Parts: sequence; C-alpha cells; structure tokens
Amino acid sequence: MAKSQEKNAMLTKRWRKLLMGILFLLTLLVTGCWDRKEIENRGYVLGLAIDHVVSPEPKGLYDLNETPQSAGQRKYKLTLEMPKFSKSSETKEVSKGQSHLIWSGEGESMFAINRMIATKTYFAPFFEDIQILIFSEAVAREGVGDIVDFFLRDAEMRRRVKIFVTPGRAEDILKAKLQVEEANSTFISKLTANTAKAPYFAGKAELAQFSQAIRSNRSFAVPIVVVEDKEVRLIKGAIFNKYCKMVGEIGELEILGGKILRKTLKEGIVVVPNPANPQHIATFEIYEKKIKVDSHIQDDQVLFTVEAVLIGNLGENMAHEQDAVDPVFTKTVEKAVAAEVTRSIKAAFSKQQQLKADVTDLGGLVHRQHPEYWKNVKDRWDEEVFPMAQLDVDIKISIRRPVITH
Amino acid sequence: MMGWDLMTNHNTTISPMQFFVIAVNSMFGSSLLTLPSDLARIAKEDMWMPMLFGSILIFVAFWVAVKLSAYFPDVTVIDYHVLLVGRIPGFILNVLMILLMMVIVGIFERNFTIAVKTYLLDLTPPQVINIFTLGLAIYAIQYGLAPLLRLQQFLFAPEYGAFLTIILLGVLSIDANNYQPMLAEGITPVLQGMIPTWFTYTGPEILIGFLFPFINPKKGVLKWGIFSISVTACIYVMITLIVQGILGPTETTNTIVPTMMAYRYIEIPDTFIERLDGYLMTIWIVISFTSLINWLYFIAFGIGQMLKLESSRPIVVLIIPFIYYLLYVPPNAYAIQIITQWVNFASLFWGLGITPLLLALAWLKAKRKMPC
Amino acid sequence: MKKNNSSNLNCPDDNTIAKLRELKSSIAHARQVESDMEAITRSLKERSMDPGIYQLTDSLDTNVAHLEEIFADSNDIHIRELFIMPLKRKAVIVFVESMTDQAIINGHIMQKLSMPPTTVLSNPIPQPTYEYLKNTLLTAASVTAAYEMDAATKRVLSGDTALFVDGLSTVLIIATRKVDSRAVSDPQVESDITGPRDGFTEELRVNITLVRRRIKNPNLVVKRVTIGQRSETDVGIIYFRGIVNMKLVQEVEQRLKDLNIDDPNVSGMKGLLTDHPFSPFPTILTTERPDKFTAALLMGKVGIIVDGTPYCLIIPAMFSDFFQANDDYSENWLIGTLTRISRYINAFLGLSFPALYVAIISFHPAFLPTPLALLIGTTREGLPFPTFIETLIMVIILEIMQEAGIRLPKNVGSAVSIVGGLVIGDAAVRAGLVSPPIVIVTSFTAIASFTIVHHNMGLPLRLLRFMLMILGASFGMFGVTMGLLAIAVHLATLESFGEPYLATLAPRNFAALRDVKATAIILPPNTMDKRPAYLETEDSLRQNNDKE
Repeated sequence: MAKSQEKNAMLTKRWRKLLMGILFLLTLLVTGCWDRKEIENRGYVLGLAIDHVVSPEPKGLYDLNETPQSAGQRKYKLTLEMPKFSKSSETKEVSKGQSHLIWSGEGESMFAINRMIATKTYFAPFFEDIQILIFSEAVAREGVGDIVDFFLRDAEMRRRVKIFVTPGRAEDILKAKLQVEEANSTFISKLTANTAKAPYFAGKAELAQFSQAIRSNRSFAVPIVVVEDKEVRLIKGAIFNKYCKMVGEIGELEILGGKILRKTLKEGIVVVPNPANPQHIATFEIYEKKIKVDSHIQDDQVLFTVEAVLIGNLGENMAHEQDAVDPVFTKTVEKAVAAEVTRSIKAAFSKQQQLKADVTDLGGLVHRQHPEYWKNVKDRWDEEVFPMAQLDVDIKISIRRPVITH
Repeated sequence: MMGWDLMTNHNTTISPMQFFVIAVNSMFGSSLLTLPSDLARIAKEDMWMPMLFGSILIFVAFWVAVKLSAYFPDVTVIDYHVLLVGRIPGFILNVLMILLMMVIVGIFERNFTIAVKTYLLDLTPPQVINIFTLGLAIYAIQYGLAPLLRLQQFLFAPEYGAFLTIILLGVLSIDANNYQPMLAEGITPVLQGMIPTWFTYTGPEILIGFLFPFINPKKGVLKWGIFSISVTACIYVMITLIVQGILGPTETTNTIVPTMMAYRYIEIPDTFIERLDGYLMTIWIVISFTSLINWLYFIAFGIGQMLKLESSRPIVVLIIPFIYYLLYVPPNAYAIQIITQWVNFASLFWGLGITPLLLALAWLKAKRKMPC
Repeated sequence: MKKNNSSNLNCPDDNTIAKLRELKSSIAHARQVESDMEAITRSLKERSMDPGIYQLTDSLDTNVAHLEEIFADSNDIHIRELFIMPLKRKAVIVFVESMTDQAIINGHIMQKLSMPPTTVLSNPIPQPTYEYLKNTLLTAASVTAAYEMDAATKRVLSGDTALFVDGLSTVLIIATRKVDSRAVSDPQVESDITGPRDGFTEELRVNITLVRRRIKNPNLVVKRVTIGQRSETDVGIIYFRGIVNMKLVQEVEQRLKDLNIDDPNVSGMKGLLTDHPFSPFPTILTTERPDKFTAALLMGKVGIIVDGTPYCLIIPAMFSDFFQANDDYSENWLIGTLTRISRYINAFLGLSFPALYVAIISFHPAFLPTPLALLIGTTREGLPFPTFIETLIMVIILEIMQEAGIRLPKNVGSAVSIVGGLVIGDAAVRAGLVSPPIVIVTSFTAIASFTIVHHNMGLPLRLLRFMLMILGASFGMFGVTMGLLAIAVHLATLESFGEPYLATLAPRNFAALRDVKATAIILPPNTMDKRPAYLETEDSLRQNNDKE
C-alpha cells in the first residue's frame, strides 16, 4: 500500500513538472512575439523633409494629409522618402524615378504626423536608417529647435542624420527625379562625403549639432541643397544661431576660411589671377596644412590669432608661356594665394560677427584655453562678446612643385 | 564548518584566480549604462577622473574586508558578524546586508530590463524579460558554486573579448576637443564625483566575506582582488573616456543612457561598422547575467547560512518572488534614480563605515586575547 | 433436410453452399487450432534453458544427455564421440561448426587423441588424467579447464571446443575460435589527413591487437568481463596501470556490473553508462580509431571495447575532447591552434546562425548596415512565408537530407546531392518560395557543423538549433542570447564520471592553464609535457624528462 502510494506521489510529481513545462511552452505560442516585424515590412525612411503648409485648408476630396491631433495647428508638412522594394529582375525595365515612395502628412506634432502616415502605408515608418533631414528655408528661419525634439528623443532615430536647408520647398528635393537610380536621400547624404575635396559647402551637419545648440548654446552651419533640372547640388552654408534659427548664409568662397578657423580644412583649391598674365588664372592645390588658432584675452576683449602654413602644388597654370618652376613666379603666386586665403578668413569671421552666430566654434576654443574667462562670458558670447572680437591672420603658402610638368 | 558548500557533496575550494573571475563578473552590472551622465553633470570635462579615483575607495574597502575576514579564516561573514558583536546585533547586521544585496540586485535587474526594452525589444512586456532572466538564473544557481564558477570561467574569455572589441571600436569616433580643459574647476568636482561611482564598483568587498573560507591558498587573495578591481577600473575608465570623447560632457549630462547613445553615434562610412549599440547590448546581456547570478547565489547562500540550512537549494527558488516584487516597486525613472542614490549611500556606508568599525573591533578583541 | 424436391446434384442449392461454407470455416478453424496447439507444445518443450542447473558428472553418458538437452534444437552445434587411445576411454567433443577452426580440431584434437604419436604411446607418464591430456596429448596452444556446465557451454558458444572425458568431471576447453570478420580497414566515419588508416573491427581480439601493437607495455591492462544477460558479450576494459586514477576504473567497473540489459550492442551502452541521460550532450566519447584510443589511454582515461561493435568508448570525455583531432598535432602548432579555435567558432555558428538570422531579420534590422538591410529586404519582397517559417523549412529539409544521405545505398547516394542542391535550393529560390539569403545561411550552417571532429557532438547541435530558432523568433536577440546562455549553464553543470564537463576550459589556477593549452589550443610541443590536471593522474609527467 505504501509502495503504491509512493508510486502515485512520484507520478504526480513528474506529471507536475511536465505540465509546467507544457504550460510554459504554450504561453510562448499563444502570446506571440510582440516585436516581430519582417524586414521587408518595415518602411525604411531614408529622407525626411519639413516644410510649412502652403495653406491650411483641406485639399482634395478626402484631405489625405490631415493629421488627427488634439492640440496644435496644421503648421508643418512632413514628407518621407522610402525605397521601393522590387525584385531585381524587374527593375531593369521599370523607369527610373520609380525607385522610391513618397508619403506626406500635415500637422504640428511630428510624432502625430509620423503615426498618421502609418494609416497610409502598411510598412510603418522605421527610422533606424534615416539618412537626411531637410528643412525649407522658411521653416529654418522660424526656428527648428522645437520641431526636432521628437527626433532627438526617439530611440530609433540616429544622431548622425545629416541636415540640409533648401531655399525652396523641401519636399521637392525628395520628389525630384534625378539621373541616378538610388533614392535621393542616399545620394545626397553620400554627397557630403566630398566636403574634404570641395570645401564649397558647409560640410556635414548632423542632428547632434541641434542637440548641442540647444544644450550648450553653440551655433552651427548647415549645407544648402538645391535641385534643378534633374541635378542636385550642395552650395554655401546656412548659419543657425544657438536658438536653432537660420539667420543668414555664408558664401562658398568664405567657407574655405571658415574651415581654416575650425581647423577642419583637408584639401581645397584656390584660384587666383595669374601673376604672369592677369588675363589668365592660376590654381593652387592644398594638400598639407598646419593651422594654429589661438585666443588671447586682453582687457576683457578677445583676440584671435590664426597662423597657418598651407603646403600644396601649383595645380593649374593657364599662362603656359610661363615656366611653372620659376621661383619668382612661384613666390608671386604664393603671395596672391595668401592674400586670397586671408580675405576668405576675414570675410568668414566678419560674416559670423555680423550675424551674431559663432559657427566656427571659436567659443569652444576660448573655453578650452581660458576656462575662467569663458565661464563669465559664455551666456553672452554670441551676442556681445564675439562681435567685438578681433582677428589677426598670418598665412604662409608654400608651393612645392607644379605637379608633373613645367 | 570549513568547506561547507551548498548542494554538492564534496568540499569545494576555489583558487584566488577564480575569485578574480567572480569579482570582475560581479562588478560589471548595468549601472555603467547610466553612470557617465551623473559624472558628467558633476565633473564635466574631467568625468573620467572620478571613475578612475573611485576605484581607490573600493581598494580601501576591499582591503578592510579582507583583513576582517582574515581574523576569522574558517567562517563566512554571516557567522563572524555574530561572533563579533553578539547574536542579536549580528543577526540585524546580517539581515541588513542581505537586504542591501537584494536591493542592489533589484536595481541592476530593473536597469537591465529598461535597457533591453529600449534598445532591443520595444514592445515586449518587461515581465517576460524578467521571468526569462530570473528563471535561467535559478537553473544556474541550483547546483552550487562549482558549476557557477565553471560557467563564468568558460564565458570569461569570449564575453570580455567581444566586449572589449566593440568598446575599442568606439575610439574611432572620438573628438579630442571634448577632453579639454582639464581640471578647470579644481579637484573638488572630481572628489564629489567619486561618490556615485561606488555603486558601479561594488562587489568584491561584500563577496569576499562569503568566499574567504573557501579560498585556498589564502595568500593571493589580496593580490588577485586588487587586480580584479584594477582591471574593472581600466575598462570603466576606457568606456567613460570614449563616451566623453564621442558625446562631450554637456550631451552626456542630458542623455539618460549615454553609453548606448555614444555607441549609436559611431559610424565609419563605407564599412559595415554602424550602430554598434545593438551589438553592445547583446554582449551586455551576457555580462549582466553573469553579474546577476553571482549576487543571487550569494544572497541564497547567506540566507541559507543564517538559517543554518544544510543545503540552500529551496531558498534559491523562494527569493525569486521577492526580487521580482522589488523590481516593480519603483514606478518611474525618477524613483529609480532616487533609489539608486540611496543604495549608493547605503553600500558606501557599509563598505567604508561599518566594515572598518568591525575591523577595529576585531583587532581590539584579538589584542585582548593575547597575553600582555 | 429433405426440403427440396427438385434437388439437382450438379447444381448446389443454398443449403449445400451454406454447409460447404461452414465446413470450410471449420477446416480453417481447425488448422488454426492445430497451429496454436503446436505453438503451445513447442513452447512447453523448447523452454529457456539455463545450463547452470546441470551438474557435471563423471559419467560421460549423463553429460552427453545433458548436452543434448541444452543444445536440443540447434543443428550447428556438433557433439562428436571419439575414443582416446592412450587412456582407453570414451570422450566427446562439442563445438559449433561455423565458429571453430576445423584444422585445429582435426589435427590437434582428433588426431592426437585417437592416434597419438608413437613417442607418447611408448612413454606413458603417470599423471592425473587432466594434466596428461593437457600437457602431453593435446597439442593445442590454449587448454583450460571448466568445472561447470554453464561455463563450458559459454566457451563452446564462443567458438572453443569442449572435451568431455568419461570418468573425468572436469571439462577441457580448447581454444579454436575462428570467426569471419571484416578485415581491418579505413575508419568509416572519422577521417584524418595524416593519421593511420586502420580502424577497429567487430572482433574483440582484433581490436585488442590494434591497441597492443601500439603500446607494448605490460602496464596496459585489459580486463575482460561479460555483459548482457542473454547475449553474454565479451567486453574489455582497458587502462594504463600506473597512470590512471584507480577511482575512475572502479567507477567504470561498478557501472558495467550494474548494467542490466540483454545485449549491449543493441541497447546502447552509452546511454546506460552515462551520468546525464537527459542531456543532449555526449559525455562518453566513441571512436573508431585506435590511435585516438591509445592517446586517450596514455592521458589517463579508461577505454571500453565491446565485442561486436567497431566503436569503442573512452571515459571520461570532456567538452573539448570532441573537438580534437590528431591532425592538429602533426602540423605546425600555430596552424593547429587556428584550426582548433576555428572548430569552436564553427560549432557556435552551426548552432546559432539560423537563429541569429531569424532574430536579426525579424526583430532588429538595425543590426545590419543599411545597404545590406535594403538588399535583403529587396530579396524578400513578395515571399509568402515569414522568416521563421522559411528558416524552419530549410533547416528541416537539411535534417532530412542529412539523414537520407546516411541511409541511402551507395549507388543512389549521388542523387541526394543533386536533388538537394539543385532542386530544393535553386528551384525553390527561383520559384519565389524562399529567399536566396536563407539558402546561403542554411548551407553555411550545414558545412560549419560538419567540421566538428566527432559526430556525436554534431547531434546536440542539430537539436539545439531548433530550440534557438524558436527562441529567436519569439524574443529576438534577447531570446537567442538567453538560449545560448542556457546552453552554457547546462554545459557547466554536466559531469562525466565525476569530472566536470568543462574542466578543461575552466582551469583552477594559473598553473592549470596547461589544460587549456592542451585541449582548447595547441602550443609548441615541448611545452606540453604534463597530463591534464583534472584527471588527477598518478603520474603527471608525460615522458621521462631526464635528458642528462
């Protein structure tokens, strides 16, 4: 009797374990996987464009772009670009410009517009791979600090998204039909990689700059992108002050100087009138640089000194009767180039002072070199102290050789 | 009482090198994810210094704990508390210590769940993550110290190898400007910053009390313990330096989980190295798990010893509901911050306040016993 | 009965048909009863015979009667009478005709007993009968005595010849075993590039020969035991006296003695000897290669050879033993280390690659760089199945093909690769059922899992692959990581005959890191002079290092 009781007890113990195990497994199957979403069902947002709404009235019969939000007006238009997944064997015949999809929504809350777009397409927007973010100039001049809060707060977004400003409508950039097959956003974002070779636009500006601007009161510059006739181009730079408002532009030729002030110049060319024959030009190509930017405090005033040695080649000599190796000639070219570079630097500096926005991070330099002084002035740097600062420039150019021929 | 071990029949002794593994594993918890933000707030550009000097505090606490245990080489901390101060105060001390450990585990696990949810699985209910982790922990702890140790040794090289590889990839994105100016405000913020780092380093000074009787030979304990703290300090300082270099002090202050944010930021164009935070989080799961099982094992062991049980196996399952309950006590992020600060102070007080007192008491008692 | 008046004898009416039918069924029933009765009588007659109940007597006739009862229904066991000339007594030899060497029986037994050479006849030396027979008359090499009928019948069934002499209650057993067995050939499953090519066969003696010719040391002990209640299989326990820890040997012997099975070949001794029958991981190593066997013996392990199987067991087996091949030592140590580390990585990949794929594609596409994510997204566009089902299908097909490849006869074997590769992989992709990446993932997984040296370690990987895939499909990377951790925890708790499974990878202190040197990686030959610490061997130096 005892043995069978024992046996019974053992059986139920084993059955209990088995039952627990089965229950556990069943919970797995029944409740499902909360986060599972197949890779082709995600809407990879590659580019985002923010414009003002042209007119807040409903458009079309059903007003597809309207965002339901319980507070806020219909202020901004958000446009998303997503790549179109189609089997590779078919894309050869499909005409170009069909490789992306555009969705838009209008409202004030970026989050709400985003979610509204999920009612238009079953692949809900997925921001992990976003490449660019474009603002129209109108929106930029109004101030974008509050708009980008959603982008900074969301865990999915990347801080490395590249920012651009465009003088016209931002959605046109995304909708444009370009010559290449890639999505516009990817193309434009890769374009910024050339900032080293061609310092004619303000380099890479990333979402992180917005965050820094809001928190540590720094101004920054953002490249301007324009599109026309199936071509896209990056030009100039838009200057944003520490309130994330666009206050002006910096020209292409001044960007070289700005990069020197920031010490981020990599390569670049300077075109000067050719001393041998002023009707023609000569070009200097920079390939090595030694830049030193210092700040000095004198009587509560800041003096910046820039000392740079730029070493390069004579890239182009359009007066070919002139022997390019001739040292006298070289010296005059060097002088001309130095003058041009100095001009560029001074122009960049004064432009910033004029706009009351320190985009070349000279304030950071002061902070690093004179922390005590910086503590006093950092709240009024952009408005008061920086516009009063002086600049001393000393550029030395050295032309090594005219590449391979005389 | 020597060689008492849970759940296995033969006496287990461990070597100082194995203690090193346990100590390193228990120090690495999930607190490192959020710590740089506190440090940046206090010390700004010098945020790596408090991390480095905070280890000195732990050195001191560890040394004190080892010396105290050396007075009682055959018993664990549960027993020598009673031996030193009497039954009732000793019992109270033990209970406090176990409670402290449980709250530490609760905070670790909560932070871990939040990090996993934010960076890996967004919509999964946190209960699932907890049940999984705690369930696996029960399985791991049941069989005693030896399998636990083997698991940690087995995983040590691949786990930390992968971890260090990912961490070091962060060096590629740092901006040297973020490190200057150094010591602009003087040494005070650095000293102030050392206090919140205690929570990241806590581990060996409590665990040595439990493990001391089992370590054989006892000669190398201090050496290997200090070595473990230094290794951990190196890795922590490296992470802090990299986070500081990538984000800069102001950003770090304003991000809730700066470590993940920094690793998200790394991008080397035209290569596949993008968004390292996912990989980091995956390795972090392994690291957090090994840390968790260490703490849980010693909690169960401590309770078992307090109740004078032959084997602590049932305790392991019984404490899990407590821990699970503790996990859901704080309702939001702010509450977690407050609790973390409290726990920080409590364990600081324990390590640098109560333990030296006990050491002094033991020294006095020993002196009295010796003939003049 | 006389109902029909118009009864036509040629045309059977219903009644007759019914009766015929009845008759037929009665006949069938009777036949069945007859066969049943026959079965019952036979089972009563041919009952299980325990030879132990018979006692050996002096009288030959009694013995022969008993023998005939024991070997009643087998026609291949011969009981042959003969007359021993020098003793002038009757005798009987019993042997199995298919298992004995007729030459020895004819030449050394029959001839010598019936017609002994004249030298023997002319010099009769007074001896007890048994000794006389053994030392003088019989010229066979091995003659032993049996005192029980039980033992005698066992020897007869092993191929020896039993000699019963009238007036002698001892039975002489002459070794005449000659069994056809496979020639020593290449090991079928394990192959090395530079290792020796002989593999174990089914015959116990041949296997012991292969071991002894490599270690010519009297300390190599071969203990024979018989296991299996009905099969009485010979099993050899082999160990190196002086190196091995005797506790281990005792444990092995004890467990073998406690085995309660009919036939060790079929029941799978491994499963019964192992510490953890519920764990998928093998804790006993089976090998077909004598060089591996002897290397293990010299390290201080115990080996078991079973008659009738070419697979021999090595006890205890650690996790890292399954990743060792002798090739590693024949090449340069750097290459060996790389190969060995790559085996671990391959095992890891073979285990978790499908799960990682499912987790990343379904849950975290953020893990992939953007161009790769978009590419995979493009290839998956329009597929009918979600990733998990797709992966599950491919892995199940992989399992089926692996199993089919083993079972198919050789001449159809090539069809499997054609069918598998072309039809299933390529055509399925082209039809749009599965995406190309999953084919790559699956084939890579398969190839990675084939690099593991020992086949028995590949099996738990196949099982756990499914578990990890399910976890990955439910919880993403978190689930896969937890699954891998669970496997690690399980490995950490396994023990093989008292030694922890992960002993080689979890060294006790710095000095014990030499275990890792020997098993996980390889270092230059002159540093590997000590035996592994976990075995606690009696003699830890591998060779005598006195080089003075």
